[in-house]
Amino acid sequence: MRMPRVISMLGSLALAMYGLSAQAQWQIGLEGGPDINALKTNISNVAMTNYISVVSYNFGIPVQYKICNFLSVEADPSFVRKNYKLQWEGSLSDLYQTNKNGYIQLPLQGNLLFTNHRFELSLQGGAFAAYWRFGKVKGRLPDPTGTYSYDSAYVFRSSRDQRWDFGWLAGARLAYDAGKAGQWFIEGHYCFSLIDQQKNYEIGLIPQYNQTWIFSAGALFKLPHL
Amino acid sequence: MNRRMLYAIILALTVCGCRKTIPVPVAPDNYPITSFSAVFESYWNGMNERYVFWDWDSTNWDSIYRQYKPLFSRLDSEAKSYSISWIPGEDTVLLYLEAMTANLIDGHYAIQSLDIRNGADTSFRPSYLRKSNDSFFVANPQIFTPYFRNVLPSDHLNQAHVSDSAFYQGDTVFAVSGTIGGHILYLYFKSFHLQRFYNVDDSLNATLKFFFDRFTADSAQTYDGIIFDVRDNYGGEIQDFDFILGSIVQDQVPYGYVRTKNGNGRLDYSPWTTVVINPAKGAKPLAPSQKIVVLADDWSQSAAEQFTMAVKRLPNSKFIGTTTWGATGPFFGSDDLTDLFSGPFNIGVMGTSEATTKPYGIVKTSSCMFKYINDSIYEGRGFPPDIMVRASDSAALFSGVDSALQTAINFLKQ
Repeated sequence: MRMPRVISMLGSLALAMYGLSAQAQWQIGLEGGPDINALKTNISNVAMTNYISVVSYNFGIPVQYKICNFLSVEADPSFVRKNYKLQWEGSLSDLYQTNKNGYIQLPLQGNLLFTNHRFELSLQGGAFAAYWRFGKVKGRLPDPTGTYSYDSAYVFRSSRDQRWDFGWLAGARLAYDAGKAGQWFIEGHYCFSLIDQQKNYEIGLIPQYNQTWIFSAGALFKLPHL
Repeated sequence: MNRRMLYAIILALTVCGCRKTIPVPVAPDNYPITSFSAVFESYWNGMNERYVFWDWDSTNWDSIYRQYKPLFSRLDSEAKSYSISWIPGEDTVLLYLEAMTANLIDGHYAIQSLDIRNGADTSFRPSYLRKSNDSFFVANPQIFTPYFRNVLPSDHLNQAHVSDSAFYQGDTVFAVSGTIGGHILYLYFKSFHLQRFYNVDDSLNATLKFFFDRFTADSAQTYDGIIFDVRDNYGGEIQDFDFILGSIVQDQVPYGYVRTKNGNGRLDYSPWTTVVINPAKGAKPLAPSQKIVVLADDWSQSAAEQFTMAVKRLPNSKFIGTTTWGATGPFFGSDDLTDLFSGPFNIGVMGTSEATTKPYGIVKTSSCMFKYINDSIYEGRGFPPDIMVRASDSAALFSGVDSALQTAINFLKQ
């Protein structure tokens, strides 16, 4: 009894996949826009200091594979700036450091699609991997004669810096199907890092995580059947 | 539609969680000292966050944690087993702290005002303990002040000017100027607070004016050489470098780099920045025939060491004496900038009322790292002289024999 049931289920699945593949299509596009990053850590032991969010930019090349009329999967190789600022308050308010970090990021996500005529709303969820490609630091800190200013490339330290980052992402996209002119969209993502920016190089190290809102506008274009 | 909503909810839920908890760090000054373990936690964490030399230091601070945390806990247990207060273990605390800090390279490093209530010495400086093992080390620097104020001006100088003593932030401020043999210009000063007292203290003003009126580009006819004497100089304000040397440099003269900490992690550093001697308005260099000697010794510390390095960047300059102390990392302009990530801190807080609270101890440590212009690091080992001349002993000094000064004079006569 059991064997025929399994065969029956596999057969049903095969039929379903055949039906899906008939609708499957590839799309590729371009997107870009602002992002806002925050460094999540705790420096409350040093009074008058705060990490504050910094607005920067991102751009990417989304590649989408539409499985059926309500589901698609997408990869979006992109460049994302994840900047943040250390700022003192009060009498030390002229002291600061802005970190400008550039990441190569690869999000992989599933899109739940809700279509109404030419409009399509996607709820997106997935994961990303990112590599901290470069950094710059600009700031003003105290020195023996007062303060000194600097604006230079960030020098990575293999003993300290964790350059690989992984995490979850969630977001939404609103798209308009302009026919042959492509599918134009705006979207917002929230990227939630799970990896400390620092290697675990000391006892009691306080973790530092990026949290990034990524906003973009762009267009997707259908590719011929592959 | 219901199934789509379910997928969306599952996706949203997976976004949360899976991170390490971010602990709330406590400033070392804020640990309530109610046990030996609290002393350890405050001290270890304060060092972990605020000591600037972890990048260079050979002390493994994590090993120190694993080794000494149980020992401090044991002191608590022993105090409880005697059913008395935790005071009897304080001798041991001092021994532990000395052992934990024995190899720290910070030449400024000191633990001061330890609340040891059995009359033991409550302060110590690891670099002093290390240097004391050197058989040539002059362990009693008290001899120097009477020598520079009284003996050197009368035995070695013409037209000697000796200022009164002033005091600033615990440093003695005085200077001695004059000429040697009519062709060498000489300046000694005890600390780097000259600009602060210039035009304020009449006697210091007269002493410095005698020197600076002659320390000019058109002095070559009269003076073959200049001696800056920073022996037994404990340092002070680096702004004095421009005040002293700015009139003889036409362009900025870089002599080193500094950086500080910008986070709680041991390796959270700002970029290196270049430190320079800045030219004064209308500055002119000395004549190519004129030489400069800087005299420094084991007791030349902090700004005195950086000054020696800065002078070495000038043409025709020589450093004569002994290797300096090795405390090159500077402090910030003010010691009370505890709202920063490096520098001095208190070990916990004792007492319950605002009127009676006090720290268990005070840790004095550099605010910045310093390295010489050629990237060499002299912290903890001192800047070596071009011509090594051991300090004359006190009997010789007070009978008019100053080997280092005589070597400088001979060099300038060549």
